[in-house]
Amino acid sequence: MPSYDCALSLEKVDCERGGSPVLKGVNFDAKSSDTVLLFGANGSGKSTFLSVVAGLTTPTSGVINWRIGEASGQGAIDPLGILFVGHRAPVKTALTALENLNFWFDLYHAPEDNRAKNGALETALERVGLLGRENDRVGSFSAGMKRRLDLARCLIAQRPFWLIDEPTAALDEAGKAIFCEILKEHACDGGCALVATHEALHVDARVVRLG
Amino acid sequence: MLTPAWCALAKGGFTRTLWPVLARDLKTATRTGGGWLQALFFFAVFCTAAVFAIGPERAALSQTAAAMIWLGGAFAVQLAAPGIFSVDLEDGALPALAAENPSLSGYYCAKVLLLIMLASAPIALLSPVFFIFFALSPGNALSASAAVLMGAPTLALTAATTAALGSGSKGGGVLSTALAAPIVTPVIIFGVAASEQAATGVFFSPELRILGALTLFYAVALPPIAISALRVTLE
Repeated sequence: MPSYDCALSLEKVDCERGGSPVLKGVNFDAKSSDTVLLFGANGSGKSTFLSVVAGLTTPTSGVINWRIGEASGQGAIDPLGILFVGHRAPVKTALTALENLNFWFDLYHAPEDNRAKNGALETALERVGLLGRENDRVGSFSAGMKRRLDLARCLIAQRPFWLIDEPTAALDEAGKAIFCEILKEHACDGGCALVATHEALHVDARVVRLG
Repeated sequence: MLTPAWCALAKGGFTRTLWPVLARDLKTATRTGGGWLQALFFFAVFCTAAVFAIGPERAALSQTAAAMIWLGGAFAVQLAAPGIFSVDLEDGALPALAAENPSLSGYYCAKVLLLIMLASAPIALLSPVFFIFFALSPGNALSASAAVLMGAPTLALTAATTAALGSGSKGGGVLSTALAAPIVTPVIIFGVAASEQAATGVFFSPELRILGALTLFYAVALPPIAISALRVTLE
């Protein structure tokens, strides 16, 4: 397993959406092995926060500093350092579970990594409890199964920063437990996970309230 | 706003997004009950209806052949285009892809190639049949279609661009059709003229050269516009 060394800091970050302010003077720090749960009411800016860190939304003011190993920078984090998992599970219903995951693997890895691919996909599907259904089309999956499949991206991406929005929506208790395990392992590897959620997850995490 | 698109090409995100997205979408297309045939089917229906509308007079048919086939082709590709982005907007795949390749350049190119493969190229390849419907001799029909084939990438480029511009709004289809008019009109003007010239035996006509030049110009000018529009949709 890779071991990460990373850090992230936001200073006085403001962000507007559709003309109204969503984030106001947000200060935030996170480093290797941190798991941060972002709490906040609906509309408090949890998704916007993740979107700003992922570089999808440009903040109106403020500074973002990041460091991954030797590399560091200001502004949006190097895309090769982040894994962004949005609140909807972007799985294609016409494809099988394996094909969906295969697509993300190709996207997250250089072609040189292909030798390890089959093993990595199988392990990831086994972890999220979908082994045995890997050749079924995702159209036949329940919302929770789609979510599990999407969370399997965490296991194959190998990125230090995880930005995850509402991971437990539609997940059953067993699914939540699996996700918490995955988060713990990521922290052990030195990764840093920012998770926007409404639920208290059973992980050793720092809680940040927005809004 | 336009520069990051081209800076990121060098970082490797371009090819790393292009091939997986194209492979995934081609595979999806084969599994959606012939959904990819939609553009081709529209084109076939349009041309057949046009033949009946114009009537049995051979001179009238052959005179309007190029115009009808280019119009049918352009409309068909235009109609197929909005779907290529909406599939990834609806299920949230676009933000995840943009986080990976912020410029979206690889993603956009994959979608243009997809539109060429599934819509404009099949239409161009089928067009000889319809030129024959329009009372052209098989030889002339083939050379007129060769001009359509040359214009096929441009039809896909313009359609993908206008679809990207309309991707942010719910009525995107209507908006993109309106936006398409000024961009597609030059292609149709020179495409029709090039096909007409080709049908009379002058293949490398000035019109065909202008069509080629338009293709090259659009290939450079349109992607930054489309990519910026997709980025704005994400904001």
